[in-house]
Amino acid sequence: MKLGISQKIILLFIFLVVILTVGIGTYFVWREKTILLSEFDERASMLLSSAVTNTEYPLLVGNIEALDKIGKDILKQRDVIFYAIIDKGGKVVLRGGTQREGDVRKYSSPILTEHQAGTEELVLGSKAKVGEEIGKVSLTLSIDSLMQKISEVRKAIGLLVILGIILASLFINLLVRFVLGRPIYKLMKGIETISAGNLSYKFPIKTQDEIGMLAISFNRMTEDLKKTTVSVEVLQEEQKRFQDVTHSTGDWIWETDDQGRYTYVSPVVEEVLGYKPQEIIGKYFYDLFHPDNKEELKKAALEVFSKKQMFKNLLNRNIKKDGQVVITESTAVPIVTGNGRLLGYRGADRDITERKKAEEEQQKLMKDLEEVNKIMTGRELRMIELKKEVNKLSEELGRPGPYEVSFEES
Amino acid sequence: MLEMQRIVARGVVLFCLFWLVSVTTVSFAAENSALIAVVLSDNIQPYNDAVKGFKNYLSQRKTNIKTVDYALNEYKENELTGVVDKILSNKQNLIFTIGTYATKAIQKSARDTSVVFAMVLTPDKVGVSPPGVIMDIPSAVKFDNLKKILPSVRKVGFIYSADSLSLFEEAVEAGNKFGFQIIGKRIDSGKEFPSAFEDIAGQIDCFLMVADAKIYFPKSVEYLLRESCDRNIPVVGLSSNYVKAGALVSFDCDYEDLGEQAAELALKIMEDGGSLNAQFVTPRKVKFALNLRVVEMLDIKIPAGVLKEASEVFGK
Repeated sequence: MKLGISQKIILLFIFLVVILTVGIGTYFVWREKTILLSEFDERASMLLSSAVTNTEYPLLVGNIEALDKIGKDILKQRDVIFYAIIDKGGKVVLRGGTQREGDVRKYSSPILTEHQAGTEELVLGSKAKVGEEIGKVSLTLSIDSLMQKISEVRKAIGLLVILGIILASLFINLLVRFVLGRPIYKLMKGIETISAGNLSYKFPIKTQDEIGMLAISFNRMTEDLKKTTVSVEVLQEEQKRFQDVTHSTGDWIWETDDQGRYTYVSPVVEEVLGYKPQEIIGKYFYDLFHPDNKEELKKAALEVFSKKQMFKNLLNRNIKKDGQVVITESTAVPIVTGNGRLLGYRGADRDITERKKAEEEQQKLMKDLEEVNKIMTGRELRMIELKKEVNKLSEELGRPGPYEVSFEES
Repeated sequence: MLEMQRIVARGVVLFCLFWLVSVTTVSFAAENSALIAVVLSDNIQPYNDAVKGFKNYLSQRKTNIKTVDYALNEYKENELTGVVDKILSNKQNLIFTIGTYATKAIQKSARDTSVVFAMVLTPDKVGVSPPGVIMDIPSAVKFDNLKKILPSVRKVGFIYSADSLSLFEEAVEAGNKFGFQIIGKRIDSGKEFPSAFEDIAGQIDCFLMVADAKIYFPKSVEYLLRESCDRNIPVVGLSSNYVKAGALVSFDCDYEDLGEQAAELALKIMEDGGSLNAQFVTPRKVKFALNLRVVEMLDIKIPAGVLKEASEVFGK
């Protein structure tokens, strides 16, 4: 399930409200329990104190009848289920009620009798007294009624907590929806409008809070976007022009990093080498060199790299994807940072295979012609030699030579 | 410069003269005044009354005696020895102790300084030596006064333990002298008090308390006073505190006068240089307190004029 920001905030708030109210509720229950227990203990303590005071002399003089009367009175008290009066030696002098475990609290207090420190103090009524423990009173009080009270308190507080959570959730829901949800929804719609291309849309600014600031920022951004959009168009036009030019020249434009790895190649490379750009990117520039002079070219190129020099019309033979050899002419400039660090090279390769072929053929033709010429010239020379010999023989015979010997004739 | 030196020299001479005169005067005055350390067992009214009487007497006699007070109740038990040593280290001429606790603590350590005590009950039993003013009112004095206050009383109940046996014997002797029959019952502890009282209650017209901490403590006193009302038995208490609580009458020392008696004794010792025979001095003034509510409750006829003589009357 996809939750919107409002729902997330509402859920977060509800979570916090639940945590908070449950925490507060637990605290109140604990506090109420502590107070009730404290009151209970205080009442028990007073009861015990009264029992100790009343028991002191009857226990001292062994008046069981009086002790029994006191015991019965103790048992009549609310929540008291058991009492025991124990003498100095630990012997139970009197007990009453039913002892049990569980939801009970047990209290015990020593029975002290006081003596004056001496006869002088006895006469003068001095505060100096000596206490003597003559036994103890133990009381067991049932906390059933207390637990019932605590349970009622727990229920009441639990109910209040649930009610509080519901009311707080409703309130937060309404608050978030109206204060945050609606403006965010409007912003969202506005963004959709802008995304659709309507850059003239303006967000209404109604408040000075974060939403208002956001609307102002969006409006400013739309304005900037408008300007940027124009620039992108210009850039795209420029790029298209560049692509057209590179495409029409048949040159493949490339860039390498400082190690000679291709980082960019123009699509024309496919026409030249048969590889798609993505097949070339990441390869070293010398990977495509013809094996015959790969090392030689690599060495020369890296030397240029190390000197960060530009190079022009560097001839190299490459192996195409289909295995054919293609001759390219590379021209490139180093890409250098402001502080002179080499980032790579940027350049273009031109396919000159056809041109080379034509040049080679022309050279071959010239050579053939030269051979023909050479043959022809030889024959002429030999003819001249023959004519000269004929003319010589004729002259020896006393007759003028029949042939005019000159190069033009040949 | 010379002028300046002369002024300084004169100043120094004047200062020396002034210092000499002051020291001589103080030493002379000190030689002619005496110092008494007043050591109290506790800071309670009867003791304070005794101190008041002691100081008043010294003042009336226009003696040049100074006193310095110490209250031992302000110190913990483990500090007592140190405090006593500190008191004894002062160069006082005499130490006046009030109460058994202070008297025993001082007498135990004092060797060179005279000690006079006041307000000690049965000193021979508690190990206190003379000289001093004891707090015991002789039984004869009590019975003499009792006869005036309750002329119809003949049989007097008396519960005692081994600790108060001598007091019982003294009471029997004195009581008989004044026409009273003492009906006694010996017990060993306060536990037995109710049964002992039950035993003698039917035979007595009046009950006389004795200063015995083994028998009397808050709960037994409460029992006695409650029973005395239920059984119409008037009680002669140990002090006015008991009268206030429900006893009919009590015979008390005049604590201020006890202090005066001790002051007389102290002066005599100081004058005689400590050569006075050591003796226990008995209280010379006895006063009584009366509870009119008890008088009414028990329907007791008090002779005319008795009320006027009472030093304290409760339940008016």
